[in-house]
This record gives sequence, C-alpha cells and structure tokens, in this order.
Amino acid sequence: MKFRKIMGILITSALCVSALAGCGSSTNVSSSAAYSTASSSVSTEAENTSDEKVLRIAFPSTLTSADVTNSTSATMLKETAGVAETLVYADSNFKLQPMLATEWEMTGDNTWVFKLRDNVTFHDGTPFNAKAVKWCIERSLKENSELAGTTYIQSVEVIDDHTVQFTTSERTTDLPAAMSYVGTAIIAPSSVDKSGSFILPIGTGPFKAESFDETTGIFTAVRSDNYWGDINTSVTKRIVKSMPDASARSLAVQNGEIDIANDIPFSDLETLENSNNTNVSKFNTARTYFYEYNMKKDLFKDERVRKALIYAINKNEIVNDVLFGVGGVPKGILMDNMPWANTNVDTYEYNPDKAKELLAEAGYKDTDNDGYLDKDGQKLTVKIITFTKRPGCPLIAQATQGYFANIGIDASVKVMDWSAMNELIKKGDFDIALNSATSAYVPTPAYYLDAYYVHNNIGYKNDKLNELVEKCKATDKMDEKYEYSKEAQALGQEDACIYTPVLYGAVFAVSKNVTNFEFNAAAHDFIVPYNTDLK
Amino acid sequence: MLGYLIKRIVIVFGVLWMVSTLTYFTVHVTPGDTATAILYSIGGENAVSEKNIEHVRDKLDLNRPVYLQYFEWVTNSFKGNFGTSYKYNKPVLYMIKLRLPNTIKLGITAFLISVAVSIPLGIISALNHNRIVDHLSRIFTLLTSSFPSFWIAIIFIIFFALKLKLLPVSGMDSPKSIVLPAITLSLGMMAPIIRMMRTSMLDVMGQDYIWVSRAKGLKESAIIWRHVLRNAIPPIITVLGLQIGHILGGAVIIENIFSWPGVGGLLIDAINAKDTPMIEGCVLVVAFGYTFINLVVDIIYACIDPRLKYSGEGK
Repeated sequence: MKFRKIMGILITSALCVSALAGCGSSTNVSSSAAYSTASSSVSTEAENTSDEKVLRIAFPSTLTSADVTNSTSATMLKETAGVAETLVYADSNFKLQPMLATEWEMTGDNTWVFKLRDNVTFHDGTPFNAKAVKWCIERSLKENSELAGTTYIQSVEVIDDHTVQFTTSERTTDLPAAMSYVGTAIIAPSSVDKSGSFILPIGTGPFKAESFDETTGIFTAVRSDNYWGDINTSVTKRIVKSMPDASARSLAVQNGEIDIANDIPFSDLETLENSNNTNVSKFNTARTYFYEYNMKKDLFKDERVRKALIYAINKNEIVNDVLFGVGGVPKGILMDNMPWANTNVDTYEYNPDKAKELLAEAGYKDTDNDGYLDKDGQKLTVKIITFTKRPGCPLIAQATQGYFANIGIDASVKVMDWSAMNELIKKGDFDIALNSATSAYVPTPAYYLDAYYVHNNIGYKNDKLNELVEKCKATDKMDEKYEYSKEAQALGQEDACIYTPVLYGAVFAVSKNVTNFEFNAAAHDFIVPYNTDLK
Repeated sequence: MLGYLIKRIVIVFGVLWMVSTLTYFTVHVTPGDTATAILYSIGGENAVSEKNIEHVRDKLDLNRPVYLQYFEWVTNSFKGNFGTSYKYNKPVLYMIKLRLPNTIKLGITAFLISVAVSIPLGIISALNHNRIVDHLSRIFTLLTSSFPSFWIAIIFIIFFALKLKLLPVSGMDSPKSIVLPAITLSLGMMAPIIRMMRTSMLDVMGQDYIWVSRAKGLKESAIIWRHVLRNAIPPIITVLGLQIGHILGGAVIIENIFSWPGVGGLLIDAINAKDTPMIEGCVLVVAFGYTFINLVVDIIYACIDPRLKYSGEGK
C-alpha cells in the first residue's frame, strides 16, 4: 500500500507540474524585500501602447540593490535608468559641465565650494539642497568602500541652502571631475525610512523609480513630471533588467525581449547585423587595453626588445579582424578627442622587419635554425597573462602570440581571473600582462596617468614622468594640466614599458524601434542617454 | 529506527561541517586577494587602488589570520548568523532567502518532469526489451547524457524562442519562463533514472517468483504492478535522491544561461568576488539540500524495502 501511495503521489505531482509548466501557470515574481513594490512583468511582445512607450534595457551585471551606495547600482541609476544625477558631468569631449551644481571653486588647499542648482526638487517633491547633498555624500562615504579613495572627500559642510563645501583628506584639484563619478550620485534623504533602511532611490533625473525587485534584479522607472532640465523623448518608462550573461543579452535582443543590450559576444555580431529587428552600434570608449612588461626581468630592461615587441603587433588587424571592428587604434595612449591626449607620439606602427632588426641588435638570433630566436643558448620565450572579464583580452593575447611567433618568439598565453592576474603581476610571475582600465573613470588626466604610469606594479619608474604627473595633479589651471599630461605621455611612450595597442570598444545591439541613441564615451560603457527614443 | 535517524542526522552535520571548512580554506588558497576581488567586482579595474584595498581590509577585518576569521565564522554560523556579503553589504541569509525559492521552484519542476518522463520510459523500455521502443529509449538516454546542458540550453533557446517564438529566452518574467530551464535541467537527470528503471525491471522480471506467478496464471498487468514494479522501485529511489544533487549543481549553470534569479547566479557572483560569507552560505544550502534529500531517501527506502527492516539496517 505504501508503495502505491508513493507512486501515486509521485506520478500525480509530475503530471500536475508538467501540465502547469506547459500551460503557463502563474509564477509570482515577488520579493520578500520590504520595498519591492511590484512584480514586474516583461512580455516578449513590445509593451508599447498608444500612451505608454517602454524602453527595455539589459544591464550586464547582477543587480541586488537600487541604492547609490553600491557602485554597480549607482551606474544603473545614473547612466542606464536616468533616475539619479551627479553634481557635475563630462560631455562627449570630456569637458566638465554643470549638472546639479552650477559652479565650483577651490577655496583652500583642501576645500572646494559647490553652488547648487536652486530650481531642482527630488521626485517626491522634497527640495534638492545642500542638506540633502551632505546627507547623501556622507552616507555614500560610509557605505561605499571606493568613494573616499576616489574623491578624497573627508567631510561635507552646508554653507547655505544652495552652497556646499567639501573638505578633502589631501589637496586635490580634481574634485569637480571626481564629482561626476557615479558613486557621488545624489538621492533624497526620503529614500530611507525612519530607521535608516533604504526604500527606493528618490533622485532628480528625468525618470523616477517605480519599483525594484531584488530577486529578479528588474528596475522600473517612469517619466518624472518635474524634471529640471530639457529632454526630448517620448519614452514614458524604462525597464532595466539585470542580465549578466552576454549570450543571454544577445538572444534577448534577437527575440525582441529587450531593446538595448551592450557587451554582446563578438561571435553574435554577424547574426545581429543581418537581423531585420536589430542594429549593431560600435563605439570607441575611454577604456583601454594595455600591455605591461615585467620590468624586473632582464629581457625587458633592453629598450630595443620592448619596442620590437610593439612593432611586431599589427594593431589595425587586431581591431578589424580579431575584435570584429569593435575598438580602435589610438594615436597615443588615449582616445584622440580627449583634450589631454598627446597624439604626436610614436605609436610604433606595425613593422615586423623593424622588430626583427631591433631584436638582432639586442643579440637575439636564430642560431640553431629551429625557427625561434635565441641568445646565449636560451630560446626567446615570453609568458603573456591576461584575464577573462573584458571580451577582447583573450583574443588580443592570442593574436599577439601569433605575431610574436612571426618574428621568432615563442609566446604562451594564460587567461585567468583579474584578481589572480593582479596577484601574479604583484609577485612578478609573468613576462607581459594584457590589462584594461578606463581613462575617464574620473575625467581628468592625472587620475589615469597616476594609475597607469606612477602606481604600476611592474617595476617601471621614471622620475621625470612621475614629477610631471604630480604637477598635473597639483595645478588647478586646465591648460597647464593638459600640457603636463601630454609631456608625461610622451615620456612614457618613449620608454615603452606600458603601451596601449587598442582602445576598448562598446558594442550595442539595439532594436530597430530605438531612435536617437547616441553614445558618450566620457560616461560609463552602459550609458543609455536621456534622449534615447522609440518609434 | 530512532537510533538510525540520530546516526544519520549526526552524519549530515558532519558532512556540512567538512564541506564548509573545505570551502572556506579553498576560497582562501585560490589565487587573488580578497579585498582586490571585492573592489574589482563592484567598481572594475579602476576601483582597485592601494588606498581602497586598505580601506576594504580594515572595514572587513581581513588582516586577521584566516584561521581566526574561520573560527569567528563557524561560531557565528552556529548562532544562525552567516555573516554579511562582502559584495552586496547585506546579510547572507537575507540574500539566500530571496533567491532560494526560485532555485527550489526550478529544481522541483525539473525533477518532476524528469520523473514523469524517465520512469514510464524505463518501464516501457524494459517491457519491450530489445524491441524498437527499447532501442529508441536507449538512443534517447545516450543523447541526453552525452550533450552538455549549456549546449542543449542554447539549442532550445534558438529553436523554441528565436525560431518558433513560443517561449522567452531568459528571465523569470512570465509563467512560460520556467519551461526551457526546467526541461534543460531535467534532461541531464533522465539518463540514469531511465537506465536504472529499465535494468531494475529486467532484473526483477527474471526472478523465479515472477515465473512462478506467471505459471500460477496471474494476469500480466497484476504481475507487473504488484510484483515487478514494487521490487524494482527501491533502487530508483536512491538514484532519484542522487539526482537531486545533480539538480542543485546543474542549476548553477542553467540559472546563469537563462538569467534565472536563483542561488546559482548568486554563487557565481560570489566566487568572482571572493565573497567568502556568500560562497559559504550558497555552498551550505546546496550541501544541506543534497544531504537532507539523501537522508529522506534513505528513510523512504527503509520504509518501502522490507529487506532492510528485517536485516536490521533500517531499525
């Protein structure tokens, strides 16, 4: 009898679930979170009715919060959903522009005063003022582990209703640029309840938060009626869906479930380009792919070897053939239109003969006719390490391996997690590392040059260059900043210990219903500008 | 029976302790600094500076020796406090409570689909031994066990979502969303169940008492239902229990491909960020699920197989 009962239960349950699954039973997407106000429903068909136009965007990271104290969420809220804004922003020419602040001034070695816009209210009608900025920045400094290190802000004081003073832990001339960083996005004190628990982000952007489902990572925002600025779009709602898997994003666009997705697999580009429903948009970004030599190794102490290896790489071929046209070759180390980019430096254009010549001068010849160069009986071998997260890294490293083989160098490639690669670099257990970073994380020359050249972990040091970067950080005159930056780049490029063969490209799959989608390289790669529209 | 139960529960706790300890130290010996991994996971390469690394280490008390961190974690775990996720800055239990129901929903659906297909197929296969149905069933078994689930997932998405437009590609937005991930997950479990059901049936069908039953003139259906199936089922229960482990492990991959918001996605994120408390939490949930289900299976097994009772094992 027991056996019959068990079998009966099993078979009945199986049939029920199969039927439910097949017929499409109701799965209730709800969160136990107190603030998950609604379960979002995104159908595979377009949700646009005559009075509602919904823009559905895939967000390429896991979203478990909608709070600006989490950098990932802050990026989503500022760049993708259009809910929260910063005091300053950088336009597509990397020039700082007023956003929630109208002007700013360095009033002392460690103090900056920002004048705030007086015609702004938060989405719930509460006023945007100095008190709100102080509350929000102090909260973010406490919760966000990277904010203090990025901005150097130590404290915030209210001068008057629309004036706020920031005191920094050290002298910085770049605070306005740092105030464009997503982690400084401002939300209202009413975003939290009386006990301080976060509810929903109440920002100042053209879209206001409607709901966030912590379980599914779906964030919805609707048009705000009281936006202080002018925007030109008929979109009434933005739904941001957390989709960390690149293939899932690509397939969702192809299936019409999503209107905009970025960082899609290169292998899907052809399919998407040939699709009737989607367009593929490629843009150069301020992010770079860069090679670093292990300067503690004798091999790379010889400048001729360092330069020979750069000459050996066909950068244009990498962009066009290996990266499917996603990316670009810089005229220096940065995007050409950055005001502080030096585009008059030697870029070591592809020249395998010159590479061989330089290696021969350095004493590397194929004495045993095995196809590989050698010196003092030692075969010339190099170990290239790179990481998985940036899609171009493994591809560029493999292409480089081939270019090196062409000039007689036996190269191996090891791909790993970024933190593991960083550890190997710190330990010195590598020959060449292919890394990546964004040069407009804080849109000012000193931040990137400081990380790229000065605080490297590869053993490279040029006192004159370091001095120039220090001067670039110290001066508050923009012309001087640019000049010091350009001089530093010239020196760094001449040393050729770190070099940028390729700029990182952003690739978007965009539904053909989407119009007016313009990329801003000064913003985050995930940006969906406010004016993005739907047909 | 009580003594047997207590013994098994002690073993469950022992397994959980071993799994959590192994996981804790494995996370710490894998390459990459924890503070660096956390910063990288939340802010990318640029967020990783010496200043920020120090800040994170101080904030999370990561400068202490690993064994001290481990003892603190174990002590707190016994009190029901599994810590706060390094990456999400939220309690681990809270995050798991959000996601676990989805993994269970997916797992149960996949399990039941698998049972509903595999057991009848195994029975039919055995009853039609070496006939065309049996051969087809064996080919099906071979195919489902040979193709990796991530590949099947992509093929299903292309066919059912992109070509036929019947089902969504991913997410958990509509009731239809569960169909593809559940079927993909269930396929991986079917082969062992079908094979075991078929073998077990054939084994019992060859026993003397079945021949005797036939000789006595019992109806074939009565022989199959009353004698063959009853004796063939116990080994299947064990296989079903083991397949639960497959569900929990397989869900990690399937959830990622279908953007299904379960514990699997949380675990992958946690591993990337070296978020030890979250990794421990997710691994413990999977390990507990696996050992608990196996405990239940053993109890069911003891109840339905009288031989165990008489031999004393189930007492």
